[in-house]
Amino acid sequence: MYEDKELVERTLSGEKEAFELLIRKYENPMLNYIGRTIGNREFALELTQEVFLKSYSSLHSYQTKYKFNTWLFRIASNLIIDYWRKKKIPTLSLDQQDSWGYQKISFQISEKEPSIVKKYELSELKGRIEKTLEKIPASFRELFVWRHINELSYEEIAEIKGLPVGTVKNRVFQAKEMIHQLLKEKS
Amino acid sequence: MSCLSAEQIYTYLEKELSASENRKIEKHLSSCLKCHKALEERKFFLQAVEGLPSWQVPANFSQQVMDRIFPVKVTLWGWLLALAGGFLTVILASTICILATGQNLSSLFLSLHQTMWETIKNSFLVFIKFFKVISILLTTTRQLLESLSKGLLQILTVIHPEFQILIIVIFILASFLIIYGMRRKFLFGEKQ
Repeated sequence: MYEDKELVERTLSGEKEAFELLIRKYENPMLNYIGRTIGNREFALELTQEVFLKSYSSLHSYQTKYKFNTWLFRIASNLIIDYWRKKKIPTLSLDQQDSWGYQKISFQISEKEPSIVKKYELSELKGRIEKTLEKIPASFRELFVWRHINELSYEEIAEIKGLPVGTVKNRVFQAKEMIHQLLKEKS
Repeated sequence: MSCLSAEQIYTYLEKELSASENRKIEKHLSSCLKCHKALEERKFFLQAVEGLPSWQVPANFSQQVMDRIFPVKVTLWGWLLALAGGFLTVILASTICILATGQNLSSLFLSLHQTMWETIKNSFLVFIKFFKVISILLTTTRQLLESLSKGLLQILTVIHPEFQILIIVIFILASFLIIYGMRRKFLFGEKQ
């Protein structure tokens, strides 16, 4: 398996096949990130194509001191923001989460909290999570998907979003608890 | 050690703690049923999240992207080859036609010329008929609008002027509401 940086250099020197290898490597992770963040497969496929087109056209500006996947996900994240703006869907920034009312959610463990273990089978729970994911604010959903679907490290996510690692950890935790609370409410 | 927070439980489950912190938490979990249940709850949740099915791109996805990045360019030689191919096809078709019908080349061109002329003539006639229909439609619409405006004028002479203003205001408001409603439906209909 070739290293990303090597494939980038080969692409820049005119080897088309090297870029195709990069596409093959990241096409599914990118679709999973975009698809689960915007919640629409058809548009996600279009945006995934756009990510690769844009990354190819700006490949000369890629700095090898950064990881290629974080650079690619940053392009995707910006394209998603543009997509939401065009669709006139509110894009909550990380400072605007109050409007969702997340502060009403208790992040403390209570003695009598309803249990998702008792209410759902594992397969049913997976389906419920997919639907509940769409209900949390977009800015939290994005970080949650990177961490738990794309399995990126907190450091990688921090690099993509330009946020401190501690902030990313806290937001991902809040996203998980939001989903968990919503699942309990449903049960 | 006091009871664990949800954040501590996730950090423990994701193996983000030091060995000593892990030991403290494990010690507490062995003696606290509430925290143990909370841990099982989050463990089950994370297990479900990590087992979510992966979305897959179509089989030809990378090729589609590559085709968009590097569209096929036809070279000058390619164009010349296509032109030569087309010319040869015409020659071949004419030869087959001559052999099959027994006509000579000049009579073949003459018949082709006549067919073409007939087609142009017929198309022209169709266009004339089409314009006639359009002019009839326009005349009918004009007459209809004239009668409507006459009718409206007669109604307005009967109605009191203040009442006329009221009707106009209601009409403007209704039009605005209809336009606004349609705009919302078509522009923001998908997702708020």
